[in-house]
Amino acid sequence: MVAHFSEELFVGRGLRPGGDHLPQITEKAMVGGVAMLVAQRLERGTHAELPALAPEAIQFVLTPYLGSEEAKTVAARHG
Amino acid sequence: MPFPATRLRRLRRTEALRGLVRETELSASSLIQPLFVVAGEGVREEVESMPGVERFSISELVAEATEIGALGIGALLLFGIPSEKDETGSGAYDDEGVVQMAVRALKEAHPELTVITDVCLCGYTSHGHCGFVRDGDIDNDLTLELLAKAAISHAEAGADAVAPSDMMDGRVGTIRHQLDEEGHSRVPIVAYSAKFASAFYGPFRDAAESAPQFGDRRSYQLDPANAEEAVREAQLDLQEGADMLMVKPALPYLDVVRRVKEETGAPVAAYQVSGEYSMLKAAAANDWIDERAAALESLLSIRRAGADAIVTYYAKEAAAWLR
Repeated sequence: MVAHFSEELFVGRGLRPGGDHLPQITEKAMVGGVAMLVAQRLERGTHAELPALAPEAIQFVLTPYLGSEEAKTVAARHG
Repeated sequence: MPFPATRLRRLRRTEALRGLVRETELSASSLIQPLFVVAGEGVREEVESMPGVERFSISELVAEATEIGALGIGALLLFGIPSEKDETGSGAYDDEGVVQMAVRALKEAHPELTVITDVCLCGYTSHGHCGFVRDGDIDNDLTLELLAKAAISHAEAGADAVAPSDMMDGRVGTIRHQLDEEGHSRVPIVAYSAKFASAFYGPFRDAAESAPQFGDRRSYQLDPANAEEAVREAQLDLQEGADMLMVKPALPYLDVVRRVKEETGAPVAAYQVSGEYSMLKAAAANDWIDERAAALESLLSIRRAGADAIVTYYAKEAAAWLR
């Protein structure tokens, strides 16, 4: 699952000048962070909280490619 | 039995008698030398606010480590200063980052030297905070993953121990879990468990170029007024898998060093921070104190309070004085 979503994110490198210089592990770190948020809710049995995580998760995974301001705007639009 | 039968001065009469009853020892092996590593070649630049402290490029760092090893100093603690910073501190978990490359070079040149790496994001983020910032606050749980990735990259480079200094909740457990998953179960965690939001860090931020660009760090570092909370932090870190606990700063928090030692029984390190160091240097430069005597007394007092190891910018000088 992490590998799949990491590949999806990888194309984001093209959106940032010098994006190809990001550490190799960037996508795994982003996906891993979101996976942790989701896992915490599943372990606690608070599945109902998951949709509310979307803005936070979207902003997090997009920040390396778009910067925080634009990532936040996109997250607000789609979260 | 009271005076005059009891006279404690009897055992203070000669150096030999004093040596027999000395309760605390200070040795080079209990000292840890912090070092700053920068990108580039042939760089060796002094930190203005910390006389005697320099930033090194990797080749210069290896040369410095040769001297440190020869002095019998217990370990070095490495801080990286990347050439570029960004909002997620990606340089912190880059396999080709400045710390990771420095660790590889150090371990190749000096496999016997103990290399501890500072694990944090503040030196790598454009905003200077220790984690992922969202709506002006640090997102604790998302930051954990980035810290774990940084720790893994240090372990894979060959670090002998990792030292998370961020003060995020749950970071020791996350790092321990991920280190174990990646085959690094033998790499210990030296947790900055009781890191206070201190005014004594000023010169370090100059050295590491890590001052926060907005706000401060009081929402994650400890309130200087709280010792109970410091002990709780230490106990939580132990439960999460910390191998050694650290109190930072040292001299203004000797009571905390003592309490953490007594209440956990775990190995404890204390960090004599940049402000403590620079104050001694400034007083010595003005001939207000005997630098050697004052520095060694400070370090001894930290040991006496209960610290097993001391992170100090005086490590090299003190080790030479102690010979």
